[in-house]
Amino acid sequence: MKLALCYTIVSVENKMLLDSAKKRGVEMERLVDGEALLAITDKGKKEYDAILQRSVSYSRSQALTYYFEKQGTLMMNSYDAARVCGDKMLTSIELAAAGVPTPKTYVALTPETARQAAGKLGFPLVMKPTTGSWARMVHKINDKDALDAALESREEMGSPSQKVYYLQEHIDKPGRDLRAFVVGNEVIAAIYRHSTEKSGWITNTGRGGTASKCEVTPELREISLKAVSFLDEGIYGVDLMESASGLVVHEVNHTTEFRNSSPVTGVDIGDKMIEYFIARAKR
Amino acid sequence: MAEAECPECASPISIAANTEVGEILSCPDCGTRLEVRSVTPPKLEKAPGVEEDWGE
Repeated sequence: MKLALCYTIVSVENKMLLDSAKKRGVEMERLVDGEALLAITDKGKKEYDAILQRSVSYSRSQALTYYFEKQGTLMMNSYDAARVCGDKMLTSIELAAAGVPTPKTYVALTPETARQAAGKLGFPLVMKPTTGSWARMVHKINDKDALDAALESREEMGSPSQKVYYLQEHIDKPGRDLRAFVVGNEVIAAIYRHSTEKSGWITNTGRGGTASKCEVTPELREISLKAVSFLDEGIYGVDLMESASGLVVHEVNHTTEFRNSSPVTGVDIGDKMIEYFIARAKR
Repeated sequence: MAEAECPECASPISIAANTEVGEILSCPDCGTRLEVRSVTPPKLEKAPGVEEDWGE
């Protein structure tokens, strides 16, 4: 059985995954996305039985996942799942369609309609790019002047994707949000992500937020599993917030990071991922 | 433990034995993010910047 780990850079998580596989007696090949050449018209045979897809680049991930999936390789996560998770608009559409509690969200394609959306949401609101992560360019917008400034900045950017305006209700969360780790049909662990002086209102640990253990309650388990119910079975990080009316899901991550989560939860999240990936590859 | 040189500020940087090609390190002196291009012999280059579509 030929297994591979696909990545853009060797992150701490990727080293942990490779180590876990090795400890389980499985040597995973390293597939660096930037070095891949997709021989689309060559009549080649299947190169890998299964690939754990950990590219941080959404576009590279999409290209490679589609290519290898077409060869019959088990991709974890699947192309369809990664496409939805990697695009916040698609994620919100699927969450709403599946009846998963999620913040009120509008997507506008011009500054004028973005202002209409703001009229429906009220201030403060949150504006995000539809792709990207680590809270990059995620803005809390407190009033009309701030919205106008943010829209003008986005209009000046070269990338058309920055002109898709994803606007969301601001949830007045208690200085923290949650991430639940879903592996297959199980919620294996969860953390609180706390905002700090360094991170501001944002909770991402990559931006200075801190992690602490969160108990996986029946409510958290149920909503997290529902949040991945429209995706192919795989490995996900579900982001949730505590609102006045209960938990709401705002994102599902398809290459979830976990370096700060294993120590605080006491769960070897990387090893659980590898155990599941190998089991699925053998199925 | 091998030693490489920061391509930005020429400071010496220790490369641990379990370092992988493609790993990202930070120069302890100038803070530049560096990508390990080779372990033997140790070679570092400035790491690629975070792209617009990078995420988890």
